[in-house]
Amino acid sequence: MAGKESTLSHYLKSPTLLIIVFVVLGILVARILGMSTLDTLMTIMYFMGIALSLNIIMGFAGYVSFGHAVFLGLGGYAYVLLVYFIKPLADLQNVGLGLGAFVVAVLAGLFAAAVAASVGAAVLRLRGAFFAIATIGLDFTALYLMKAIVPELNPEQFFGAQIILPADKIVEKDIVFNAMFLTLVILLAVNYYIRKSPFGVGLTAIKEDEDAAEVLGVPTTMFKIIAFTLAGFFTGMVGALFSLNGGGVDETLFNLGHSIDMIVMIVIGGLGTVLGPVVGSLIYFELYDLLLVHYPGVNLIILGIIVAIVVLFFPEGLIGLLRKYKVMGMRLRDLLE
Amino acid sequence: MALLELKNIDAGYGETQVLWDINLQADEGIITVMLGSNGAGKTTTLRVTSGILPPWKGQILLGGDDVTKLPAHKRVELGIVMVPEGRRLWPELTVFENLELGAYTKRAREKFDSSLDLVYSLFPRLRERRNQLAGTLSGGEQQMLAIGRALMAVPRILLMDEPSLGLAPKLVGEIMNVIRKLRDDERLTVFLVEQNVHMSLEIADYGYVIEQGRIVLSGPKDELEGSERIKKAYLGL
Repeated sequence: MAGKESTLSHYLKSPTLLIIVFVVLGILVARILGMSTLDTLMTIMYFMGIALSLNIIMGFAGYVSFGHAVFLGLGGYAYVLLVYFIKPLADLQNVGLGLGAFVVAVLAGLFAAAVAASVGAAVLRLRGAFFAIATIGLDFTALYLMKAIVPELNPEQFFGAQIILPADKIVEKDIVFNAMFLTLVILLAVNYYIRKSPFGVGLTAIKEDEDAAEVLGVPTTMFKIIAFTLAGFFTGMVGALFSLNGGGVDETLFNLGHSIDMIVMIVIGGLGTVLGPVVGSLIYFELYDLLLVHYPGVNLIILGIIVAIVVLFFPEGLIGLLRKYKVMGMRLRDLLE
Repeated sequence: MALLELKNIDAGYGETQVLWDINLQADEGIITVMLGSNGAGKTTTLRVTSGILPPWKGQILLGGDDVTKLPAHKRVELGIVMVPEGRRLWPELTVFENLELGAYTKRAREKFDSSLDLVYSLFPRLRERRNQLAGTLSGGEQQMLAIGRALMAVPRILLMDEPSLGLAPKLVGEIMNVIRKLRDDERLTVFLVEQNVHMSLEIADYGYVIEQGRIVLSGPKDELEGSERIKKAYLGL
């Protein structure tokens, strides 16, 4: 260790935070300069948001949640029902350039978090594949519950599980953008904080060897529940704002495809890192777009093959792969925290 | 004085009972061993003691206090720390990170520097390799790291599950010397389970023999060494 280091060189040595700031500024600049359409930016933020949310339980703690789309759906339905039936909340959405919508999304997220906490307390005692299967079950349960309950709430307006928000209850896209942007920034900060905190270290220990973690003093069950609840909360928030952006919800929000999206992005980018989901979601978004334009119809097949190759040959993902190399005598492992 | 006591412990997995009325104690400042062959219930005894496996009935006391209902991580805070079988390191983390993680509890974090000094003085090789990934260490070094990691948790009693497993005889000797040193210099209480009867009787002060989930014999080291049963069943004499 060389003596004292200036703050800047310290951050250059561990530039994860810098990269995060660049990504955040990048989205903002693209927005202000109008380099991409609002919808494109919303989609990128949505992808990044769900990847970073799932990362908390899957990346850090190593628990694959196959039915994680359930929280997307619960958050979306909670949000839409809140603004549909509660007038003050519908009005609140327009307050503070997106801050109001953000607050309503927090409420929706809390609903998803409550479900995650209570379900997590039961299913997080299961390990590995059993946990993955349990969350799929949860996804289908929530889907059929919505199908049964939603039409009862307002038989004249709601058809099936679909709810379309009337014009006076939706907001300008700018406002949705701001709320989503704020959510993403917080999500990045939370991911980064977890990575650096004793809590995150405990999750890493759980991922690497749960029994060993337990006998060295990590409260494993509690940590897993907290991680799962956080993952549910943020997925719920993203789902809420995504639904607001689309002007309503329907049952496709519970599609297992969304769960797969999240998992694939984290795996491509690199499990257990903060940059992994960020990079993974950007790559995934580009690939998704590119394949859809050039190879419509077989795009998902090609995507599937790419994912299979990644899992077979680079199971650590892009960031995980880079971490193995040295550049100019510096180990990238230390840089790409 | 008994630091750890197991009283009338029954335990098992599913419907299969593995331990039958286990009574034992580990006295302060000495090395207590539990001898037994594969499947006799040694590891299960440790799992019950560390809190990973709840017993069906019976009591576990630490320094006279009942800890039977406490989860494993709470017991670590009280000082019951285990070196699990097969070492169970975190292979993708460096040696130093593994040690850092060992000092997970608040109590252990406060003594981090002195624990680290102790570990590095016991195992100078770990200091040399502190930036290496744990998965790339040799078997002996991994066992050292597993012990070092447990010491970082500042144990009052160290539970060890077959520390000699899979090691070359020379390394086994080295590990045994370290355990001896921990007793003599650090006054650490050790509870060890082993198949390697020769070696464990050499360092033990007191021993129990477990067969098919029941304790069949116990006594001070000399007594066990002289026992016909041990000679016949375990030493092949």
